[in-house]
Amino acid sequence: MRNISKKFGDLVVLDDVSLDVHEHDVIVLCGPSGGGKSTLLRTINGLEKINGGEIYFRGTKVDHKNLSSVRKHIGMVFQQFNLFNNLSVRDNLLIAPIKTQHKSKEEMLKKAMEELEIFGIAEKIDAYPHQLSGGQKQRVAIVRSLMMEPDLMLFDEPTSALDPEMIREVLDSMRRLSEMGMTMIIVTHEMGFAKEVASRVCFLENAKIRVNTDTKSFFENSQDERLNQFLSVILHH
Amino acid sequence: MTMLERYAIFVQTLLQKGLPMTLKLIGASLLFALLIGVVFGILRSFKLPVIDKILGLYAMICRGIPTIIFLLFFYAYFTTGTQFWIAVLAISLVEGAYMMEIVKGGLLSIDRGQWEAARSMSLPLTVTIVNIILPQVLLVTIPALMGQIVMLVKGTAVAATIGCMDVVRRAQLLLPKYSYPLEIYAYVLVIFFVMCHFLTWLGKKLEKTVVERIMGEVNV
Repeated sequence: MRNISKKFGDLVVLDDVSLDVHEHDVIVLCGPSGGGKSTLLRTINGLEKINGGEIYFRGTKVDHKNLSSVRKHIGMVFQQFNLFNNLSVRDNLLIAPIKTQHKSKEEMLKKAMEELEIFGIAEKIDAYPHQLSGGQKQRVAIVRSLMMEPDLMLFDEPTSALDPEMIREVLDSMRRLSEMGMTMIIVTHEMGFAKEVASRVCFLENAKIRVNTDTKSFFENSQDERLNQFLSVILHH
Repeated sequence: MTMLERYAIFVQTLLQKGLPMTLKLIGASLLFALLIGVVFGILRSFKLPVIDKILGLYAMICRGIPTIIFLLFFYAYFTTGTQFWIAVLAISLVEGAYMMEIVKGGLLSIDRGQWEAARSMSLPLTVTIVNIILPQVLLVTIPALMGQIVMLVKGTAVAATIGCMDVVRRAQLLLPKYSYPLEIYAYVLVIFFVMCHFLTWLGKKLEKTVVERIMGEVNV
């Protein structure tokens, strides 16, 4: 599977940015705030519109006609979790497969329990979002995306709204996902995580990708001055 | 006054003759006020430039002027039309404005992320609205709307000013005949108090049911 994307200027938020994603890649987008990372991520599943360029998913161009069906193959995890507040964990997980893919409830419930088990929150199935901690909410959000069996998962600063103790459990869940072979694109500031789990890392600044390389070269052999500046600040906080 | 007279006043005049009119006033005003509130409230939440300005003006005017002024204004203006419908017009417009703001506020209070999560999962719009957005909106707006309904009920009392034969007007007309204004108005007071208290009680029960059904248990 290849998710080739080319995005041009969104005002001046993204300026002729291109990114190729291959199956099983774990790509981390990093960089200073306002550099365009989240915007880039959100253009992939159509939450942001692009003004120029094209996005391809599995070889087919994505346009407003097929966006709806493409979205069914892409999962997204948000910084603010965005769990449906009026639904229990169970209903949060089941609503999409049942209402869009018309799967059977028993089948999906079984799958839900299995996935919750893997991420250590099976006992919370009947809880409501307001009863969960941030880390638990995010793990539910991850499972909610997994219920649709996506080919690609997008993570928009998934740990930025969490207390330090809970960041670990979410990062561990994401690591487990990568070990399961999921293709992931992650916007994050957690460079330690990136170093251990990512296959490629991109540095975005001022609407452009300055560096896009495999993890080893990114952290060790970087030629780019701005990147080195950035890394020295962020790795020593 | 004899007990028989009291009975005649309270039960026969006020309750049997006046109350139906009061209830009709409440019913009609409530219907139109809710219609205005829901439709325009939703419309305002879209924040379209022209429409929002117009509705904003409407809200400002109707919330800034006492209902009775509107009532007298319309009564003077409309040469045809019954007092009942003039009263309903005035009350619905004013209460409708308040309800519009309540509905708008409720809709805008829904975090954008709820919509984004639904879109990113390709949930159909109807499912999103019915299963996710609407319950959350109801949770927020029902308490406020119930309060506004009680205000509406109290507000119908102004209709007597232009001659609607409701409980208040009938009480006023009884005054020359029986010189116990305090007692007569006390009956009116009781009638309104019972209605409003019932609505308030109903509102609390409704709130509790809504919260339990929509949010599971809320651990207070």
